[in-house]
Amino acid sequence: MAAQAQGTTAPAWSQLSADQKHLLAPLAKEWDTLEPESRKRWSRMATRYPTLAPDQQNRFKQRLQEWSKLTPGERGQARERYKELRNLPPERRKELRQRWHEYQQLPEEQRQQLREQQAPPPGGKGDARPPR
Amino acid sequence: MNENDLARRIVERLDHGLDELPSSTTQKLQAARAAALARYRGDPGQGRWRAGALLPGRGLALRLALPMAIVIASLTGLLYWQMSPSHDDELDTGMLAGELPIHAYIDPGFDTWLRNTSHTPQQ
Repeated sequence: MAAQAQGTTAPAWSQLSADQKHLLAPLAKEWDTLEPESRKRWSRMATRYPTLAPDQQNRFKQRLQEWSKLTPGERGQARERYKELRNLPPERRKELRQRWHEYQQLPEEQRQQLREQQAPPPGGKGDARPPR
Repeated sequence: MNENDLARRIVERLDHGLDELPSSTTQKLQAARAAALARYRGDPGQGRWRAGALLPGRGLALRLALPMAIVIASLTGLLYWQMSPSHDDELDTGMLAGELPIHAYIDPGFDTWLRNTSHTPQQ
Protein backbone atom coordinates (compact mmCIF):
# COMPACT_ATOMS: atom_id res chain seq x y z
CA MET A 1 0.00 0.00 0.00
CA ALA A 2 1.37 3.43 -0.94
CA ALA A 3 2.27 5.66 1.96
CA GLN A 4 0.07 8.63 2.65
CA ALA A 5 2.77 11.14 1.92
CA GLN A 6 2.20 13.74 4.56
CA GLY A 7 5.28 13.26 6.66
CA THR A 8 8.51 15.16 6.89
CA THR A 9 10.24 13.41 3.99
CA ALA A 10 9.61 14.36 0.39
CA PRO A 11 7.64 11.49 -1.12
CA ALA A 12 8.66 9.76 -4.33
CA TRP A 13 5.90 9.38 -6.90
CA SER A 14 5.60 5.70 -6.03
CA GLN A 15 4.92 6.61 -2.41
CA LEU A 16 1.85 8.68 -3.17
CA SER A 17 -1.58 7.22 -2.59
CA ALA A 18 -3.81 6.40 -5.55
CA ASP A 19 -5.92 9.49 -4.89
CA GLN A 20 -2.87 11.72 -4.68
CA LYS A 21 -1.50 10.28 -7.91
CA HIS A 22 -4.82 10.80 -9.64
CA LEU A 23 -5.02 14.44 -8.61
CA LEU A 24 -1.37 15.24 -9.18
CA ALA A 25 -1.15 13.39 -12.50
CA PRO A 26 -0.27 16.61 -14.42
CA LEU A 27 2.90 16.79 -12.34
CA ALA A 28 3.80 13.10 -12.72
CA LYS A 29 6.48 13.59 -15.37
CA GLU A 30 8.36 16.23 -13.44
CA TRP A 31 7.64 14.86 -9.95
CA ASP A 32 11.01 13.34 -9.31
CA THR A 33 12.78 16.51 -10.41
CA LEU A 34 10.75 18.73 -8.10
CA GLU A 35 12.45 20.15 -5.05
CA PRO A 36 11.76 18.10 -1.91
CA GLU A 37 9.82 20.96 -0.31
CA SER A 38 7.61 21.23 -3.39
CA ARG A 39 6.88 17.50 -3.38
CA LYS A 40 5.91 17.70 0.29
CA ARG A 41 3.73 20.71 -0.38
CA TRP A 42 1.92 19.12 -3.32
CA SER A 43 1.31 15.92 -1.39
CA ARG A 44 -0.10 17.91 1.55
CA MET A 45 -2.30 19.91 -0.80
CA ALA A 46 -3.54 16.70 -2.41
CA THR A 47 -4.40 15.37 1.02
CA ARG A 48 -6.40 18.50 1.81
CA TYR A 49 -8.03 18.61 -1.61
CA PRO A 50 -11.19 16.72 -0.51
CA THR A 51 -11.91 19.51 2.00
CA LEU A 52 -12.34 22.05 -0.81
CA ALA A 53 -15.78 23.02 -2.07
CA PRO A 54 -16.79 21.20 -5.30
CA ASP A 55 -16.29 24.26 -7.53
CA GLN A 56 -12.88 24.84 -5.95
CA GLN A 57 -11.96 21.22 -6.57
CA ASN A 58 -12.86 21.59 -10.24
CA ARG A 59 -10.82 24.75 -10.60
CA PHE A 60 -7.91 23.19 -8.73
CA LYS A 61 -7.76 20.26 -11.15
CA GLN A 62 -8.11 22.50 -14.18
CA ARG A 63 -5.49 24.98 -13.00
CA LEU A 64 -3.07 22.23 -12.13
CA GLN A 65 -3.03 21.35 -15.83
CA GLU A 66 -2.14 24.97 -16.60
CA TRP A 67 0.40 25.03 -13.79
CA SER A 68 2.24 21.98 -15.08
CA LYS A 69 2.93 23.78 -18.35
CA LEU A 70 4.46 26.87 -16.78
CA THR A 71 8.17 27.53 -16.49
CA PRO A 72 9.65 27.93 -13.02
CA GLY A 73 9.89 31.67 -13.61
CA GLU A 74 6.23 31.90 -14.57
CA ARG A 75 5.27 29.91 -11.48
CA GLY A 76 7.17 32.30 -9.26
CA GLN A 77 5.63 35.25 -11.05
CA ALA A 78 2.13 33.84 -10.64
CA ARG A 79 2.67 33.33 -6.92
CA GLU A 80 3.94 36.87 -6.44
CA ARG A 81 1.08 38.40 -8.41
CA TYR A 82 -1.45 36.26 -6.56
CA LYS A 83 0.00 37.44 -3.26
CA GLU A 84 -0.47 41.04 -4.39
CA LEU A 85 -4.04 40.58 -5.52
CA ARG A 86 -5.51 38.16 -3.03
CA ASN A 87 -6.05 40.82 -0.39
CA LEU A 88 -8.10 43.06 -2.65
CA PRO A 89 -11.61 43.75 -1.36
CA PRO A 90 -14.21 41.33 -2.77
CA GLU A 91 -15.72 43.94 -5.08
CA ARG A 92 -12.29 44.71 -6.56
CA ARG A 93 -11.60 41.02 -7.07
CA LYS A 94 -14.93 40.65 -8.79
CA GLU A 95 -14.06 43.60 -11.01
CA LEU A 96 -10.72 42.00 -11.80
CA ARG A 97 -12.43 38.79 -12.92
CA GLN A 98 -14.73 40.84 -15.11
CA ARG A 99 -11.78 42.67 -16.58
CA TRP A 100 -10.01 39.39 -17.32
CA HIS A 101 -13.12 38.23 -19.11
CA GLU A 102 -13.17 41.46 -21.14
CA TYR A 103 -9.47 41.07 -21.92
CA GLN A 104 -10.13 37.57 -23.23
CA GLN A 105 -12.67 39.02 -25.65
CA LEU A 106 -10.02 41.23 -27.28
CA PRO A 107 -8.65 40.01 -30.64
CA GLU A 108 -5.49 37.94 -30.21
CA GLU A 109 -3.54 40.51 -32.26
CA GLN A 110 -4.45 43.26 -29.82
CA ARG A 111 -3.56 41.12 -26.83
CA GLN A 112 -0.22 40.30 -28.45
CA GLN A 113 0.44 44.00 -28.96
CA LEU A 114 -0.32 44.63 -25.31
CA ARG A 115 2.08 41.87 -24.30
CA GLU A 116 4.81 43.37 -26.41
CA GLN A 117 4.38 46.74 -24.77
CA GLN A 118 5.86 45.29 -21.64
CA ALA A 119 9.24 43.62 -21.62
CA PRO A 120 9.11 40.12 -20.16
CA PRO A 121 10.05 40.17 -16.49
CA PRO A 122 13.34 38.64 -15.40
CA GLY A 123 12.89 34.95 -14.70
CA GLY A 124 10.22 34.43 -17.32
CA LYS A 125 10.48 31.84 -20.07
CA GLY A 126 13.83 30.13 -20.08
CA ASP A 127 14.49 30.60 -16.38
CA ALA A 128 17.21 28.19 -15.45
CA ARG A 129 15.98 27.53 -11.90
CA PRO A 130 14.93 23.99 -11.18
CA PRO A 131 11.23 23.29 -11.62
CA ARG A 132 9.06 23.51 -8.53
CA MET B 1 -4.68 33.99 81.74
CA ASN B 2 -6.45 34.42 78.47
CA GLU B 3 -5.77 36.98 75.73
CA ASN B 4 -8.34 39.47 77.01
CA ASP B 5 -6.86 39.47 80.50
CA LEU B 6 -3.39 39.97 79.10
CA ALA B 7 -4.53 42.88 76.88
CA ARG B 8 -6.33 44.54 79.80
CA ARG B 9 -3.25 44.29 82.00
CA ILE B 10 -1.01 45.76 79.25
CA VAL B 11 -3.40 48.70 78.78
CA GLU B 12 -3.50 49.30 82.54
CA ARG B 13 0.30 49.28 82.67
CA LEU B 14 0.60 51.70 79.74
CA ASP B 15 -2.06 54.01 81.17
CA HIS B 16 -0.44 53.95 84.60
CA GLY B 17 0.87 57.35 85.54
CA LEU B 18 -0.74 59.24 82.67
CA ASP B 19 -2.48 61.52 85.11
CA GLU B 20 0.86 62.45 86.65
CA LEU B 21 2.48 63.59 83.33
CA PRO B 22 3.99 67.09 83.53
CA SER B 23 1.93 69.79 81.80
CA SER B 24 4.83 70.57 79.42
CA THR B 25 4.71 66.96 78.14
CA THR B 26 0.95 66.94 77.69
CA GLN B 27 1.15 70.26 75.81
CA LYS B 28 3.80 68.85 73.45
CA LEU B 29 1.68 65.76 72.81
CA GLN B 30 -1.40 67.88 72.13
CA ALA B 31 0.55 70.11 69.72
CA ALA B 32 1.93 67.10 67.87
CA ARG B 33 -1.53 65.54 67.58
CA ALA B 34 -3.02 68.81 66.31
CA ALA B 35 -0.25 69.18 63.72
CA ALA B 36 -0.74 65.58 62.52
CA LEU B 37 -4.49 66.10 62.20
CA ALA B 38 -3.97 69.37 60.32
CA ARG B 39 -1.67 67.66 57.80
CA TYR B 40 -4.08 64.79 57.37
CA ARG B 41 -7.08 67.05 56.73
CA GLY B 42 -5.09 69.38 54.48
CA ASP B 43 -4.26 66.64 51.92
CA PRO B 44 -6.07 63.41 52.63
CA GLY B 45 -4.55 61.64 49.67
CA GLN B 46 -0.95 62.61 50.29
CA GLY B 47 -0.26 60.00 52.89
CA ARG B 48 -1.67 57.26 50.79
CA TRP B 49 0.34 58.32 47.75
CA ARG B 50 3.49 58.39 49.82
CA ALA B 51 2.80 55.01 51.31
CA GLY B 52 2.16 53.47 47.92
CA ALA B 53 4.67 55.46 45.95
CA LEU B 54 5.46 52.54 43.74
CA LEU B 55 1.86 51.65 43.07
CA PRO B 56 1.26 54.05 40.13
CA GLY B 57 4.46 52.83 38.46
CA ARG B 58 3.47 49.24 38.91
CA GLY B 59 0.02 49.96 37.54
CA LEU B 60 1.50 51.63 34.49
CA ALA B 61 3.86 48.73 33.94
CA LEU B 62 0.99 46.29 34.22
CA ARG B 63 -1.16 48.35 31.86
CA LEU B 64 1.66 48.33 29.28
CA ALA B 65 2.75 44.75 29.82
CA LEU B 66 -0.46 43.14 28.67
CA PRO B 67 -0.78 44.95 25.30
CA MET B 68 2.94 44.46 24.68
CA ALA B 69 2.62 40.77 25.40
CA ILE B 70 -0.33 40.57 23.00
CA VAL B 71 1.57 42.44 20.28
CA ILE B 72 4.67 40.26 20.70
CA ALA B 73 2.59 37.09 20.68
CA SER B 74 0.71 38.27 17.58
CA LEU B 75 3.89 39.14 15.70
CA THR B 76 5.49 35.85 16.67
CA GLY B 77 2.39 33.98 15.53
CA LEU B 78 2.26 35.91 12.26
CA LEU B 79 5.93 35.24 11.57
CA TYR B 80 5.54 31.58 12.38
CA TRP B 81 2.44 31.33 10.18
CA GLN B 82 4.14 33.08 7.26
CA MET B 83 7.16 30.80 7.50
CA SER B 84 5.18 27.65 8.08
CA PRO B 85 4.59 25.09 5.34
CA SER B 86 0.85 25.45 5.77
CA HIS B 87 1.12 29.10 4.70
CA ASP B 88 2.68 28.05 1.38
CA ASP B 89 0.04 25.34 1.03
CA GLU B 90 -2.75 27.84 1.55
CA LEU B 91 -1.15 30.24 -0.89
CA ASP B 92 -0.90 27.69 -3.69
CA THR B 93 -4.27 26.13 -2.93
CA GLY B 94 -5.86 29.58 -2.95
CA MET B 95 -4.26 30.39 -6.27
CA LEU B 96 -5.17 27.11 -7.94
CA ALA B 97 -8.70 26.95 -6.55
CA GLY B 98 -9.34 30.67 -7.01
CA GLU B 99 -11.65 32.20 -9.55
CA LEU B 100 -8.95 33.88 -11.62
CA PRO B 101 -7.08 31.65 -14.09
CA ILE B 102 -3.35 31.25 -13.58
CA HIS B 103 -2.62 33.08 -16.82
CA ALA B 104 -4.27 36.21 -15.47
CA TYR B 105 -1.35 36.45 -13.05
CA ILE B 106 1.37 36.08 -15.65
CA ASP B 107 -0.01 37.57 -18.86
CA PRO B 108 1.89 40.85 -19.29
CA GLY B 109 -0.71 42.00 -21.80
CA PHE B 110 -3.40 41.84 -19.11
CA ASP B 111 -1.28 43.97 -16.80
CA THR B 112 -0.70 46.51 -19.55
CA TRP B 113 -4.36 46.54 -20.48
CA LEU B 114 -5.36 47.12 -16.85
CA ARG B 115 -2.95 50.02 -16.59
CA ASN B 116 -3.97 51.53 -19.90
CA THR B 117 -7.67 51.46 -19.24
CA SER B 118 -9.52 53.50 -16.70
CA HIS B 119 -11.16 51.51 -13.92
CA THR B 120 -8.12 49.45 -13.06
CA PRO B 121 -8.32 47.24 -10.00
CA GLN B 122 -4.59 47.37 -9.49
CA GLN B 123 -2.91 47.22 -6.13
